[in-house]
Parts: sequence; structure tokens; C-alpha cells
Amino acid sequence: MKEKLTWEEIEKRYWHQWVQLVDFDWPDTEPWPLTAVVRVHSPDKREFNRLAAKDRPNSTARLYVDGIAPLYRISDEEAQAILHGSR
Amino acid sequence: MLSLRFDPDADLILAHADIKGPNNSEQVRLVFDTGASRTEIDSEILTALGFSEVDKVSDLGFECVTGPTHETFSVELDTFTALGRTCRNYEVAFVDFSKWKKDQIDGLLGWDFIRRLHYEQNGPKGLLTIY
Repeated sequence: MKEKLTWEEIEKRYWHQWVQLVDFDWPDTEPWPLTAVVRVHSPDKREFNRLAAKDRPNSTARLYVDGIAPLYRISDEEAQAILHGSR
Repeated sequence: MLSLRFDPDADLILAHADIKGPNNSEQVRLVFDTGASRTEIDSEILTALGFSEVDKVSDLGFECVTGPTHETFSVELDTFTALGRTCRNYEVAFVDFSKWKKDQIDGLLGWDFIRRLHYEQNGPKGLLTIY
């Protein structure tokens, strides 16, 4: 069984690679999963798609590890602080 | 109200979407793209979810200023969830992204979805507010 990793560990091991995640803990208040199991990975998208499709589990997440954060939810208080320049 | 943060220095705004097909579900990374008339998903991902041309809902043709019209088709996802909204029986374009150089994404979140939102974008601050 593959180990559960923190996002920091995933970034360190799989930087600039595609990863398919299973068993992930990813609140919508976080740009990245807190923890996840990397099922398959590859720097090449075509190869990654091939690996990811094989014996695919029912629920997975896929992403490219490049540090570019997708939209994530913040509180109204945080939004106000950003708008008014205190963050 | 939903407040969302994005990186104001990045070239693109990226959004996660949960897509569900006949066999499986997948969380994918899409470009928030008001210039794309339709939401497009990489054909390889849709194939892995169990879709094929047999599931075609309608024929599509995409025109591009730098190349020929790209012929493809649409399929209907069981559910499509992005930016806090879930749409059932949602039609998306089945598009081959393999030749696109900037291919660290899985598709485009298009105007057909974005137009449903009442939103306000503050680019310099990296804030998207959905009402």
C-alpha cells in the first residue's frame, strides 16, 4: 500500500509532474490537498493519462505540481482584509 | 456570498472542477476562461470516465483565428461542480488538448458556465467574489 503524504512532501517528490491522487483530504479552503496518496505520476501528460486510466479507482483527483494555486475559498473576513489592504 | 482567492501574478486563473461520468468521477484543473464559449474537457479524461462518441449529444465545430475549424462533439456529464455550484446533466465539449503547448491543464471553464454567475473580480488583489 502506498503511503499518505503531505502536500509539502508531494511537491518535493513530484515537482513538475502530473500526479493522480486518491484518499485525499482537500478542504475547499485550501489551494492544495492537506494529505493524499499518489497513485501514479509522470512528467509526461500522455504517459500519465495512460497510467491513470489503468485499473482506475472510482474517485480521483489529478493535477500538475507547479505551485500555481487554483481558486480556493477564503472567509469573508479574510476577503475584507485583502480588499482593505491589511493583507 | 463566496469569496475565492487566486494568484494575481499568474498568467491564468485556474479553477478546480469535479466531473462525474458513467463510471467514475475526477477532480480536474481548468482555466477560468470567459473567452471560451463552451466548457471543454480533455478527451483523454472523458474517455477514462467512460465517455465515447457513442455518447455524443451534438456535433461541435471550434473556429480558431490561426488554424482550421476543429470538429468534435459534446457529451453530457452526470454532474459538474465548480466554484461552489453543481450542475446536473451538464454538456461539455470533448476536445483533444494533447497538441496544446500549455498543457498543464485539463480543459477550459467556459462562458456557458461562467455566465450563470453573478461575480465580481478584483484582479490586482486576486479576489473573485460570487454572490
